[in-house]
Amino acid sequence: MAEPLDFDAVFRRESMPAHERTQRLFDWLKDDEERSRFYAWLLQSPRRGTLAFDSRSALELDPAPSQDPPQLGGAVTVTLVGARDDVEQVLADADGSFSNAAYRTLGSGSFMLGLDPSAPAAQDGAAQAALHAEQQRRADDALAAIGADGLRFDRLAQLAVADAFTAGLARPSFDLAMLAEEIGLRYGALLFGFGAQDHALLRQTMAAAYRGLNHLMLGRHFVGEPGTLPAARLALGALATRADALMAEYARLARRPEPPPADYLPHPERRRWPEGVEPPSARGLGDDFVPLLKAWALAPGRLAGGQLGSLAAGMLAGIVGNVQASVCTAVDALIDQPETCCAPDRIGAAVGAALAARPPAPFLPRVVAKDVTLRGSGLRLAAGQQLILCLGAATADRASCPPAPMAVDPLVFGMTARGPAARHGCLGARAIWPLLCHATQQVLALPGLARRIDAVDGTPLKLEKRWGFGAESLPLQYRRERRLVQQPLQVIMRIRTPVATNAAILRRLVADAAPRVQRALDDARHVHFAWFQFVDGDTALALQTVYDGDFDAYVQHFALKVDDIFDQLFEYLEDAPPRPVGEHVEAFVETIRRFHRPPLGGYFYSAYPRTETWRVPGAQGAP
Amino acid sequence: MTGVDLEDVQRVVLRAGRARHVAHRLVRLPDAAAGLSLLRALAPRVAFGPALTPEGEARLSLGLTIAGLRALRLPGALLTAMARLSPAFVEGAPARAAARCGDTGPSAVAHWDPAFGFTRCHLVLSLDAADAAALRDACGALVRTIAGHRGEVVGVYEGRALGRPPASAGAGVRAGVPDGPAGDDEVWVHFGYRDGLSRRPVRGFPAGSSSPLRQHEPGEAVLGARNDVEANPGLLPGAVDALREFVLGGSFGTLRIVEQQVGRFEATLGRWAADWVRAHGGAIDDARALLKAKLCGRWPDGRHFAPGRFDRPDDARDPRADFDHGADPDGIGCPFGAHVRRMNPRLPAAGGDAFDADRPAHVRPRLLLRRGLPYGDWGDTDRGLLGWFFGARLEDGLEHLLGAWGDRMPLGVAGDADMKDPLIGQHEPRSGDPVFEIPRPDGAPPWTLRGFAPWCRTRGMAYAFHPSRRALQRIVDVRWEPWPEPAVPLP
Repeated sequence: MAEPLDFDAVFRRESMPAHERTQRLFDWLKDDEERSRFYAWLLQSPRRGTLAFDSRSALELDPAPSQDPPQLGGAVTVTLVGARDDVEQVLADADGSFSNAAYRTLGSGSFMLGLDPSAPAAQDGAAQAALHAEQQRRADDALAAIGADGLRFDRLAQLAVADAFTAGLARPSFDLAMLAEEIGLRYGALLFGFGAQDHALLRQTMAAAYRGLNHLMLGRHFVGEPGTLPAARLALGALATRADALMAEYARLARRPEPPPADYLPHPERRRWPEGVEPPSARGLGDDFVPLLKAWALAPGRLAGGQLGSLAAGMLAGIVGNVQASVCTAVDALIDQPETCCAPDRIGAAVGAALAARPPAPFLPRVVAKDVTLRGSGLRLAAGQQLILCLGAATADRASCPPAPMAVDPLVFGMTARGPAARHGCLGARAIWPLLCHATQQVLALPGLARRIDAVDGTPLKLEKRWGFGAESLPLQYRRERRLVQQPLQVIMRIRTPVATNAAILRRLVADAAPRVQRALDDARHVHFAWFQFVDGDTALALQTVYDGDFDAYVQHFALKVDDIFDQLFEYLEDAPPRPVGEHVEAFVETIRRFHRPPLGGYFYSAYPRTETWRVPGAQGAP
Repeated sequence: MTGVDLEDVQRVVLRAGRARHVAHRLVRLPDAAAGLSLLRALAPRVAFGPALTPEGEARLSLGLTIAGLRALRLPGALLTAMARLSPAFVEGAPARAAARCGDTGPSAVAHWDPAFGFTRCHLVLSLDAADAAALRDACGALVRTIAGHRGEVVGVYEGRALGRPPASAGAGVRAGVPDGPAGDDEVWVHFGYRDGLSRRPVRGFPAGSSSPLRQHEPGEAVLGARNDVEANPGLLPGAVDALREFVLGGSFGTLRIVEQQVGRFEATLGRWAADWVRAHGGAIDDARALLKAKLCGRWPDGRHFAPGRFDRPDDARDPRADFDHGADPDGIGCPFGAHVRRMNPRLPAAGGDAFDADRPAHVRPRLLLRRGLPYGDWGDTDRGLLGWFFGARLEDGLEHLLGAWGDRMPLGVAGDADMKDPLIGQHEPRSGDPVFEIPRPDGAPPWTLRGFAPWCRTRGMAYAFHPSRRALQRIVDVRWEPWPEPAVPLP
């Protein structure tokens, strides 16, 4: 049990400098456990879930370049809002009292989150409302078209997770933050219709954009990072540019499909899609699947190309980072309770509960557009006041009945449970939900899944977040050999000088020993393939095998069975272990381990990943 | 012969002794000076050599974890040598538990008792005795000594040998248990099996010298002697004599606390027995006993299956007599996935030598000297096993048994590859719903059991090096300074 934090002492002590109070508050907000305790105190306090603090952020919202006259100090006071009624009132914003202006610093005037659809009375309000409505309609229509096939989002989720797992789980140790980001990227690429060559761009831009989002939502009030928002803007701009170009390509292909060259007949379907984009039918998505970029390209409506590109970039920025944070949060909460979440019918409720306890985007910024009173706390707010909505406090304040089919408190996605709909609720919540459940379930189902252990103090490593938002690391391990029983071994050792003479001797030794090696391999019953060869211009000897199971036991077997053959081979190789091998088995094993060169990225393919040698029909020792 | 003077080896490694009661104290040292003074006080009391501990006395054993070696500020060269000798010991049990021992889910390190924290546990001090009074007295003295040298007891674990399950025990626990009082040497565990039957004689060790059974080489149990495959890793090629002297005669101990969830075991066994009765008729208690026997690979009272017979115990043989599975090649008596067939493959000797090179390394028998006893009483909520094991190699011994043979079907063995050891495996839902196959005679399809639940939960595990008398003396004499080796960072 952690020491109780004395929140009262911090906020009642007038003598405490404001900057110190702000720092303490930041410490609580960015730590999941301390934040929960802080919320419990905040909701019980006479403030009814609200709290004002001095931000470190400058008055002007856009730090670079500032269009306002610079001022000395110029920090603003920000109010946290945590009571459920208050949060829902702000999100619904029925009478245009609240603005999303903070988000505008992330992009151009068409960045969807930065528009205020409920404030037509404000300067340029009507234009904002119209643009927002059109963007929302385009996104809703395209997602609805995909979702019309009830299983389409499930299929997309399965593909994204399978693709991410291929390389992401090549080693027994992995970082779930990276794997979950990859899942989000793969999903986004499929949903929008990006090509394989766009993957690096997506990864780079999404990381910068999500950091920018996190910064303006919370970080800017506590840390000075003048470069973060410009970098996010650049990233979103680069992605919007690429999205725009791809939409142009989709439109061109719709008008005039690429004629298949004479020597390229086998894949005519590919010519109907931009280069690098795999036809959806090849992935089992059906011929009628239309990714978002293609849908918008074919029917641009009233939005300009740049505005559609901006819409795509903004939506993707929300998807990838939040998928990453959600999957990490859910797995972190459920990793030691496999019985509650390995059943498909229970995973939704388990993920929903985990995300309600720790929403992936725990803070939302708003600015008071006109004087207003919060109904729950009774707090009066003046125009211009900056707010931070604490979603985790609101979900803890009072549980809301999750609507079907998503078993999650709507506040997790910035939506309201009742009353008017939220102005900026997550557009893709229903599209993303199957992905969150499937990805969480697949990760939790990995054999032998466990947290990695800190090598210094032996404690299990936990989820690390940046400012309480984005997942930075969640180091995990699993029994890789249970998922892919075969292991490649490639031992490469340099031949001693005189190389040519010794190579000739080694060639003869290997040929002479082949019958005994063969018998040892037969007896082992867990070696699929094995061979020797010279590499690096015949200056090194390579031993290559594919075997099942445990490395030590496998290598030991040969130390015990053909130790004398290895004794002879090692005579002509550099850095050989002590001999006789049979008396120094451990040193032999360590030498083999040291000179093993694993496959690039750990990736290794097997057509029968769960089949041990002796279970292969017709194999040596097969029943 | 061994090259190791058995008089120098800790007694607990050499023989099980008369232990009916055991007490473990996990100790944290405040600093190197206090640690050395505590070891100086304890060293004369540690039991060494093969002699039996006199009745009425308790036997003290002393193990140092890697954190303990570091806390004592022993030379870096020693730690480097230990890293060469045993990566598992240097990495520590918490770092190895998930990948090597199958400790995941409820058994994950995050849920272990705090005493097993990697930097928290420096010493494993253990007392065992034939009678409770002797243990109590020795324990009191030990705790006073620890406190007197500013040591902090961070973990207390005590257990005792259980007799036969009482009538008040559940039907599953009672199934197959003979009526009447237990013999003096009987030890039972909470699932209702007789324990302590497997004898693994080691050449030159007290119980091994006169045993008619196949013997392991002493290098399987202690460092510095040749092992079953005629290797001697404890020789540390290239190391200075002082290092070699430090490891010579030492052994790696493992303290592994396992909570047994008897209620779950009872419920699942009852369901399976009801299924069996519906299909085959007969009494439900007989079905419970039969299925219990199939899960373990021997009958609850310890008797083996008659060779190749599906449901007959071998009445003629002493449960402690050794045997192999050569007469049961199809698993008709002892299923391939049964607990005892995994933990001790008991393959028929090839060419007269049990450990010869004709046997693939992955099925070579592994020696694990077992010194554990149950904790908790019949009916207690918290009860289980104070597992206490010894061997010269953690990686090739305990970890191989738990990870390669217990946490999945051993390679090359028929059956569902995902099926874990039915009794001690961490049956998690993420393993799917693997099938335990019970082969049947006369070509009948195997009877299958599904729906395994995690009946055991690991509460903690510590790897502790149990030094020889000379090594311990060398530590407390602080004769390390002359060594030229600088402290070398651990890999």
